[in-house]
Amino acid sequence: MRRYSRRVFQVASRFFRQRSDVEDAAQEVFLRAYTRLADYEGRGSLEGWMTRIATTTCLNLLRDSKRRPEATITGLPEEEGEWLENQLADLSIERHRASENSLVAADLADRVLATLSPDDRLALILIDGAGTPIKEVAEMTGWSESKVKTQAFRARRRMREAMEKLLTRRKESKSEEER
Amino acid sequence: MRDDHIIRLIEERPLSDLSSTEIERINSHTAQCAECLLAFEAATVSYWLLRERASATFEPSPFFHARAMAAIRERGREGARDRSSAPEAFGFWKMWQAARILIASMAAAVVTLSLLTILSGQPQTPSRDNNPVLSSSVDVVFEDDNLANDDLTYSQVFTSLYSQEAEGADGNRQ
Repeated sequence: MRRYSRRVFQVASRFFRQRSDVEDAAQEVFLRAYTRLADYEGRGSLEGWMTRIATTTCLNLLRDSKRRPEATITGLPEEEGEWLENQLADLSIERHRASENSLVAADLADRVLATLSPDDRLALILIDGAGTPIKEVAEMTGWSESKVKTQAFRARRRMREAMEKLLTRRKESKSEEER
Repeated sequence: MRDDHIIRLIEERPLSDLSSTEIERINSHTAQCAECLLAFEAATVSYWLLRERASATFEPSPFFHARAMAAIRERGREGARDRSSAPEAFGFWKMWQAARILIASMAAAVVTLSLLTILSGQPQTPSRDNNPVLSSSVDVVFEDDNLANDDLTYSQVFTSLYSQEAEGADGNRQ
């Protein structure tokens, strides 16, 4: 368990934002692995098998916990709004301000991701967020590679549209304040 | 004017996979197109947010292993309790698993034999044609003349019968 707990926590952290949720999910992963140990056929690494159990378990927990995604983002805390404006002030793909208020950014990301389905969230965080290759995501989820690509494409569009609405509202309220 | 080619470019791959030529093309287009600029801004901010979100991971706490091991032990005990509380049902289930093919084939054989027995053992009702003695005597009585059967008197019937028998007897003697 000690050997794989870091990996399991890494996977669970991509699904859940609260430590207590991550710990509950990780415990459920080890329980499932314990009850399904007989199913492990020795093909592939045990870490890969554990990662797949962790991914499917967390995805199912997320699906169960939230049947319907939130329709829109209603208001932003001030610090998240500021983070957004700082990013827009210097728009570039290469620059990545990882050190600056990363907790604020992670919270804002969760707020936007809450408008998406669990499958969309998984595809985006793994592929765009963590830079996981398509093939690896397919192995982790049990989906086909074409399904992973399609899911990521659609998820990217939905997240962009949600973010467009957020940015438009932010710009409008900013211009009203200036007047 | 919104360029679908630009939109597709920022949707089909993660932004980090775009080449410098593609980024230049996006920048030159978004300088003139507010709609595509908004889309590109949204895509870029989304990308940063996802990077931040993916890097936010938790480490297992020192108590996690003890807690998870306790949960696994508890699950193991529950499993053992479930198995011991229903040994008869479990035994019957195992027996059924082993014998179900045999039982099913025996049942099929019994049904087939029953059907065959019912179909082949039906009693045949005696028909007029199968009893030549009875049918010939009756036919002989009533084919005699053109009188309707209902109009014959008892004496006519007996006369007719006896005369037929007498003729039959004479014929046999000859």
